[in-house]
Amino acid sequence: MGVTRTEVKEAAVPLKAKKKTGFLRDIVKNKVLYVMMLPLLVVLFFNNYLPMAGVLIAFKNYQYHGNNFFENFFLSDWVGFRNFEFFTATPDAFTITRNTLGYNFIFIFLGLVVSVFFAILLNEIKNKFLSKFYQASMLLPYFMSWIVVSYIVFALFGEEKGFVNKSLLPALGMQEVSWYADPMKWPFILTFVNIWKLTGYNTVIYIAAIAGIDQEFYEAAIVDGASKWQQIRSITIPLLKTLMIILTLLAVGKVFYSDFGLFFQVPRNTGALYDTTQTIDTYVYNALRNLNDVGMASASGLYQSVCGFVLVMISNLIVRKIDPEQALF
Amino acid sequence: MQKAKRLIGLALVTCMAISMIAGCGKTEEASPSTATNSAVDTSASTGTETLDPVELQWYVVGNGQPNDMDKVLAEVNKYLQPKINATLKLNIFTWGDDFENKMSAKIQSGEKFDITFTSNWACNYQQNAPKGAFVDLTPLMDKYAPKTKELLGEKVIKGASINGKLYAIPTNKEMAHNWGFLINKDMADKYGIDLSTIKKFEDLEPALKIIKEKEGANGVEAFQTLTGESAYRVLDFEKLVDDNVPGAIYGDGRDTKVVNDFATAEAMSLFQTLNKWYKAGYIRKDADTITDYAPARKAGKVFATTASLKPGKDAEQSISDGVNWTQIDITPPRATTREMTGSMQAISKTSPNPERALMFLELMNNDAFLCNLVNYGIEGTHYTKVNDTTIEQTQAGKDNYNNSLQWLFANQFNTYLFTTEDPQKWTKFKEYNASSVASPILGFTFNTENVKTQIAALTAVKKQFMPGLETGKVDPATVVPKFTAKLEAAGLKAAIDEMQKQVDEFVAANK
Amino acid sequence: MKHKDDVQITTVNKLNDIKPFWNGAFNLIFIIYALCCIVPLVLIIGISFTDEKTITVHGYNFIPKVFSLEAYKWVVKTGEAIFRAYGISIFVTIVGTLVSLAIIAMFSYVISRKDFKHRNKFAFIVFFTMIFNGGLVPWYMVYVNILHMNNTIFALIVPSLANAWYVMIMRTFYQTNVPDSLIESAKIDGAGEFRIFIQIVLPLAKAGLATVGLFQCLQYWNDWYLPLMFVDDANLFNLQYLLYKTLAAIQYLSQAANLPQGSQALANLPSETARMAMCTLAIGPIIIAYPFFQKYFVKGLTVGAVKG
Repeated sequence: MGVTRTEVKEAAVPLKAKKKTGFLRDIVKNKVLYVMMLPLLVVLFFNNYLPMAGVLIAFKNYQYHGNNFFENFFLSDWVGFRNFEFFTATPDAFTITRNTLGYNFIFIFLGLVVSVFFAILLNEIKNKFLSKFYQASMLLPYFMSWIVVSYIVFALFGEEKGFVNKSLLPALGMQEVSWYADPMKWPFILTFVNIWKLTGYNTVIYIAAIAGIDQEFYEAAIVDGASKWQQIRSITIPLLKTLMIILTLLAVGKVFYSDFGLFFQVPRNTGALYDTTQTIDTYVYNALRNLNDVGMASASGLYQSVCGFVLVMISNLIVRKIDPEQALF
Repeated sequence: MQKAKRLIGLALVTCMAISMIAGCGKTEEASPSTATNSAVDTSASTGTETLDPVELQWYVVGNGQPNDMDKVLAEVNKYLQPKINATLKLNIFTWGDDFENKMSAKIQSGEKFDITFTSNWACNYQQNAPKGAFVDLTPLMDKYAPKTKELLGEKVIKGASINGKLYAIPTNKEMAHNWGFLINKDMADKYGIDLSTIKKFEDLEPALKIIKEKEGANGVEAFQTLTGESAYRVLDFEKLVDDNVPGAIYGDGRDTKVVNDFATAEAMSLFQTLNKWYKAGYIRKDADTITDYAPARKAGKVFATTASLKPGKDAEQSISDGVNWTQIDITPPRATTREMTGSMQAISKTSPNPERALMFLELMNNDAFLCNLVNYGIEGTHYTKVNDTTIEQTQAGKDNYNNSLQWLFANQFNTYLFTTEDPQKWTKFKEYNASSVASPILGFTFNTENVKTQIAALTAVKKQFMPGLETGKVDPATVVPKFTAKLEAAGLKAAIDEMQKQVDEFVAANK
Repeated sequence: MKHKDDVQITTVNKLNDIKPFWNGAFNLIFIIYALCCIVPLVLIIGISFTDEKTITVHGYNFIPKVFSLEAYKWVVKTGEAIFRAYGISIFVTIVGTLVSLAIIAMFSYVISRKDFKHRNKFAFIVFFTMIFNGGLVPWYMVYVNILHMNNTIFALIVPSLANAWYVMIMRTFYQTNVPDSLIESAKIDGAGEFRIFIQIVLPLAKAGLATVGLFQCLQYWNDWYLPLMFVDDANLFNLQYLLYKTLAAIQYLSQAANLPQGSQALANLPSETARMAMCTLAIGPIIIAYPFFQKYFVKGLTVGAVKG
């Protein structure tokens, strides 16, 4: 959209602003490149940018007094930041923010370490059939819906018929544990479940990235007598660095969001566990599901986005200071 | 950065502008039939000459679109056209998220349609109507739906109205509720338990003890109480917002004082009883993490549970669970806003033909042929008549047109009964309705607008503490004070005060 | 001589592998991990074939105590509709994956080019959509009131075409796998931009394309949300939505004990087993499709091969 605006202006006032001419000239010069970008830009325009004006609903008390969306929108009152108040109205505001950020940073860090580690290891396994088999099986948990996962976790830790309580702990001569009553057990369970479910997916990306590395690098290293460890340290990891940084930066933008299924379905929305399982998304769901309020729902999304955006812009700035090539933009 | 900001700003403005042009253009284009509105007048409501043909889009909740919907609609339209020159398009969406998501997207985006199912539990009437989603039918009833108005009667219409305005037509069905127990009769008989001695909640205890001793080893839950569907309902508080928000008046109608029901003496005593039962092993250990009530019941592993009752509830439940249930009424039948708004049809604000839609609903409520056609399909194809009021479904009916939505489509008392049902069912329903006592605030709907923030925060707090209490898992002596303190921190007082204010205004206005 | 060296190096490369001890240790780690991933799936398949009542009484078992096909019968009971739904799913998955792969591949290539002056601006335009969205209602409205795509097959394809996350991943693949010098030299040889892209760049980015293709394929295959939002017409329901609908209904009804009518609608629905059956059915085709993508993830791609 920015493009067309500039273009129009340019046609009207030629040769005035040098900088703008530069942009137009760039389009002419690189027209093939621009054509290649066009389809995705069109999709983004309709799918993402057009609806974006809707964030304004977060500042309205959205009602249906008109005959269509626009009339509804204009007839609804502006309410300033009133739709955001329910975040701070809860006595748990600190807990849910701490949980959301805490889990996300653990997941980002562990997720990165585990999947890079697995990807490198899988590449070194001699038997290619086994390597492929491991890869494929690691991806399986990704296909299980969170509800199914919650049944499995319940089958393990349930108090009536759970495997751990009924078979494992007695076998070890230990007391039964009330898993669903003790919040301190859940940071470990949730972290494990999250890593288990998503590692396969992230590992695929890194495996593909390793597969794309030019073999000549390794050949040269072997000729120089580099050991396996040296090859990994000085070729594989540096070449994966860009990808690691990009994926981490993208994840930082989402730290105010949490996986609803993980935090809602897996602990079964058990009230006794809220201290360590309630996140912004589950709070919003619990709080708003009876209100059905578009404005408040929109406000929660906007709040999460803005915070994430600020964080990612800062991180990106830091990355760019260190190495401009690695930055997101 | 500065440039990026400008770019975003520009993009937003452009988006807004373009979407406005596009949007407005489309809406005008999409409503060519609006013109017919003025053509409808009283004299025309019976003849077709002055009525332009229209199509009515109707959305309801159910088991999804049956295979033979098109065939049945063809019959419906043959019948409808000569009467009101309208054709019907009926879409049955699926229970739960499917219907909720579809309807909220349609309503919030202002999409055009005519009629939707609405209630206090799906496509929420109390939220959508005050926000302006539905047409106010009050001025139209006399003109287009006089028979329905008479059929429903003043009590029901009042109960279904919001601030004196009727936004939807309730289905004519059982219009009261009472609470009590469902007891596994076979088990009770086996151990010679005398059910006639059970008059109040605590009376169940000796029976539970016997069951625990004899059947506990077989994995039978003596008493089933689960999160959300718990024994707490037996206290029969008349909640002002919904089950998740504290604030209710006593169900026996003693006064109209709003209290935090979770902290009342009655609630405390119930929580204590449940806690005692939990410790005694009558309630399953993981009750607070279970939400599916059905599997254990169907497996015959539940002895007793609390339920919302009506005449013949035990028979109905027995058929669906395959277990021989018997019901014990604990609370007397009462008519509250909850039942009046349990199943209704509203006309959308975006409907191009609200009058015709209402004329159609009038027909549905009063024309037994049409009502049964929509409910059971075509006679001879989907069902066969046993006698005038009783039918049997054919295999084709079971496979291709099996809606089970008699409680939804207009007048339930006009529908046929299956051979498996009590032939006296409708008579009993009518007696039940007549015997019910109306709530002193029947027809009151709480407007959440001023305390939205508090309601949201309170709901989340309830979810944290209530499951442990209502399943007896935690000791109420320590948890209830914590619960109350946290509710207060979340704005309990403001919410209760607002409720009291609105209730007082309502009572004053209805004197 | 040189050629011989090459062969030697490749063999050395093969032999240069880790010591047998480490190989064994790594294998052990992966065997344990793979078991963690496979065992739950076996359990799920086991449950899906078990009689629902048996589960309530005896809990979960790997081998059904009482064998039952009830869950599958319920899930697929929609009859002929299921074949049509399979057709829709396959069509949408193939077309959607190909089209989205094409537009993502083109776009991210352009923003990966270091000589393209405005690459960061366009990267930002894409990235921005990842963080901000206008919410459900305006998004729904664009498709229904402006594009009029509701109740068409496009509504199942278009919304998932562009994905900022994959654009960023793909861009990184180009940056690390395609040397600038290669593009430069091709330009000097007089090749057009589009030819460079197709003949030189794409073959080098195969692994990246396979990754994004795999993920998009999964996205399209597993999607039930778009039909839920945009399709009322039963002829356009895809497989996942059909399954989802059935399950959501079972779930809803088995929890809503006190609806005015709950008991009537709830005949004899299997709830847990049906969920497991659906999980099994959904994984099936993916297991078949996965090896197709996997062959691009194997080490051994060399730029030299393309150059030569």
